[in-house]
Amino acid sequence: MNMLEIKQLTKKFGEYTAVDNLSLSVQEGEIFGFLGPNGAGKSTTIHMATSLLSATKGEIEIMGRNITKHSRFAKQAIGFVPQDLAIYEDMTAYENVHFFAGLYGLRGAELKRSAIEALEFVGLADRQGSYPKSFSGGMKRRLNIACAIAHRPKLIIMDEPTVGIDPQSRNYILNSVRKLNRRGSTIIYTSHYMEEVEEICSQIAIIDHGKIIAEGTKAELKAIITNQKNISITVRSTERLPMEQLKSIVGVNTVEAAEQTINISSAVEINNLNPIIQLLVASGVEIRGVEAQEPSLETVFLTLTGRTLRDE
Amino acid sequence: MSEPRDASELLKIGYKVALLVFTVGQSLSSETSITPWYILSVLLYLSTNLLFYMLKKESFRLLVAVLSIGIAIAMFQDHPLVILLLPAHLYELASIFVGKQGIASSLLMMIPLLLVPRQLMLLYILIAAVTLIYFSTLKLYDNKLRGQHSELERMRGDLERVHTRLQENNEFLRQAEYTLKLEERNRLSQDIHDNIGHAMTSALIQMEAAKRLIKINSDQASLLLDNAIHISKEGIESIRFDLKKMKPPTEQMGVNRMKLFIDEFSDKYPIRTAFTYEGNMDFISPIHWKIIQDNMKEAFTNMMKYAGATAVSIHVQVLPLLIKATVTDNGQGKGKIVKGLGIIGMEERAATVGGKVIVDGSRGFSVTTLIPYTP
Repeated sequence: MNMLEIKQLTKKFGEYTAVDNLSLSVQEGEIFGFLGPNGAGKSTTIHMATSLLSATKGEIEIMGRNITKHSRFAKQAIGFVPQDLAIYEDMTAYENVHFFAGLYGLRGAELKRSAIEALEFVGLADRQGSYPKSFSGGMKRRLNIACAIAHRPKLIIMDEPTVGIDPQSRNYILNSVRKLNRRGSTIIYTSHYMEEVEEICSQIAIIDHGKIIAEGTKAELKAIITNQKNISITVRSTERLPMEQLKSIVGVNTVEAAEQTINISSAVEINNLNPIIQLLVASGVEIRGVEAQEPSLETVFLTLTGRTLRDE
Repeated sequence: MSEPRDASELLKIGYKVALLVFTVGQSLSSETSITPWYILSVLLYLSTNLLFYMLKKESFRLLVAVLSIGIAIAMFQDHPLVILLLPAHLYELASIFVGKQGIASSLLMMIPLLLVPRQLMLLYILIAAVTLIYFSTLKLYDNKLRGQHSELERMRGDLERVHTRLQENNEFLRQAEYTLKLEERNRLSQDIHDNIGHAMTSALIQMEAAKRLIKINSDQASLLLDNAIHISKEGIESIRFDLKKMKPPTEQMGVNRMKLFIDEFSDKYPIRTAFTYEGNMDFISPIHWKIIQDNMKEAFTNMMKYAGATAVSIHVQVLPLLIKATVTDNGQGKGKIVKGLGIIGMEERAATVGGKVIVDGSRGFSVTTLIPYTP
């Protein structure tokens, strides 16, 4: 079943088109990455999916139901972690989660239990009585997530949840995204950090200027721009290099040798590192380092748009 | 074709007829006598009302509306019930004058209250209220219908445009095939002339010389013949070579056309151009070339209009699953781009083959066309 289905969505601010006839569908159980530079239209799309903004045109369905016709259902099905922190500084961590879970419709003992559970989930159970004022940036982000997941939503939408935090909190958050996914939630994860998206997402859409320019798994996206990988081998000397034999290994396309490096370009889908190294060793070439480079999502974006994901 | 307002006008007429039947019925059942004058006025009233809906011109409609109100007032002396017909007219009058109804028309509809006899007061207010609600609802429904109508019209226009584009593309494909054949023939004849023609001529000369020498100096003659055989062999070899190296001609045609157009452009305007391409150009079909070229022309036009650029580069790249064509200038660019007809045209063109267009103004102005293909 499609957890989220967006059909020809357009959002205009005056004459400016922020989201441009965008269609996509997110299957149940996925961690769906929404990757694009700042200002590409990620947040605008997310805000329309969470009914914070109205669409100029197009339709959005959550589990097959139109979100404007079934707004109550849609709101309960979604947990939204906004990019700008949405927590109250003068309420304790527990009160914050309690308050938001209450908004999503939880009551009584269930509400209390869920709030504690959510705080445990993000690792803030021991700080539940503290005020967010005393929290670090990463802890505030985690509390922000706890507020959105206490009601156990089917679909969790996270808008740049790792902006401006330390690497440790970042890892913690990435791990909790995986855990949330395993416990049955579908996740939509927007980011302009391609490493994060590459690390956790099973399906990725690349968005630029309000349009989806490519969509698929990591491997599918990379296959759009190249079917080659680069193997770079550092050696003591390339004197005894068995050039012709190297070229005859399955998958190898070109071999370039400088004084101490061999650059091999090879078909990406064939794993031929072992035979290459065995051949070099057998011919008496002394290997000092091996590096296999596959293109990154950054390269995919760069190749398709001519620009980088981050602001320069 | 039926206008959407027909339906609501019919409903208005129906409403008025119902009111008229009601008042006439009331008059019949009351004691007041039915004079021929009364019948005449009712008929006159009917005809002016029908006339009102048949007329198109606003001023005539106004006149007729006033006329039917006049008739109603004239009848009022003997048949006070006729006053119940007025609210509908007053509403219509208000809509001619004010355009927007609401308060103005409800105020106007209250004026006859001054004339209305006490026992009819309540009935009049009721009818006025019903009329107001009925007509406003009709108006709403009318507006909605009109909106849908224009939306439908717009979509039909779009469909038409896309259809024409498709037909153009098909026509282009047919022509491209034909041109392809012609160009291929020209190239072949050029090659034959350049390589084989020369070889055959020089072999022929040597053989003729050998023929003359054969009796005088047979050694020299056999040398010449050897030479001729060698040249002929080379000629055959070169035929083989030509046939082998023959590139799929679409590539040459596409690239050549691009070069031609870009050269023409840089001759006309003081703008430096650079055209580069990479990847296997064979995968670009004639229809893809056409889209790339048309989008490039459009991008050039945009650039001349807005950019203030001095150089433009065109890059065509064939990736494993996508063809990417980029036109980038060095002008001042633009932060937020408002889509005009030009950009929409490029998008539609690309969409006919499932492609996308990205327009970016962050560093100069760039138009990237991405077209998927199956290798």
